Amino acid sequence: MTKILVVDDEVSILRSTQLLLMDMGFEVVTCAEQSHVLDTLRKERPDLLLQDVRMPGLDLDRLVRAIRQDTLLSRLPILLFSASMDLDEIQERVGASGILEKPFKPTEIVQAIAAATGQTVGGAA
Amino acid sequence: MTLAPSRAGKPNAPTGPSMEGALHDVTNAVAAARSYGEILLLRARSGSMSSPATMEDSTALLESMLRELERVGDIVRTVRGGVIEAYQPGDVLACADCGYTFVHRKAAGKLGSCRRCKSYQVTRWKPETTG
Repeated sequence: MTKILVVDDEVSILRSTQLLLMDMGFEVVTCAEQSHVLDTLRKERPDLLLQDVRMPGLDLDRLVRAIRQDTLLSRLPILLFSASMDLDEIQERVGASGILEKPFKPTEIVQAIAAATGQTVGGAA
Repeated sequence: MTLAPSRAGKPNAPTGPSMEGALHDVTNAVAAARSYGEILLLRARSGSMSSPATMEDSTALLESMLRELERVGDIVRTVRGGVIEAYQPGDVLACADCGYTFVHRKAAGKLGSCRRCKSYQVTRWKPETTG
């Protein structure tokens, strides 16, 4: 089962995305505090990071660099999701594996996860 | 960001970062509402809604979806009222609805909303002066 860490400071987004992904057959852990992301990644060892791009205290370039330089996490696919309109530019700048614009359809999130992880992922969508 | 011509001349119409923050927050609320709706649809299609436990859980999801839609309405009313102010993390705000005073902790550009009742009717807190 594909395990995903969802990071967002909006509790409603965190909860609704978690429930949707769980109903589609994914294992999901969540994090609302940017400062806890690296520790949570090392502890949970997910197959994918689904990261909001607009959070208090988030330096996305620094976060991605830290992940890429960490021996345990360096190959972790990072999927950016946001309500922002400049996701393409951000993805290109930080070198993320993919992007997902909010709001999204179940099929879109499943396709984005599959593309980012290179796996065929299950889902009820 | 520029407003549509029909609104450009309206007095107090919000523009700039505050408008972008409002759009961002509306998108988040719509995204959450949509996800709750999609979960309910998946469950209905799979026939799993018939058990009492799932039905109870689904009722909670429906309530969450309606709360998010109510949030969309609140934001739209705030935008139409033209009273949006851009706050920075760390600003102290007061809720006009419930009176709660709190520190704004959202990312720069996002709308201020009460951390207790979730209302968007917030203002910058000013200490009362005496004497």
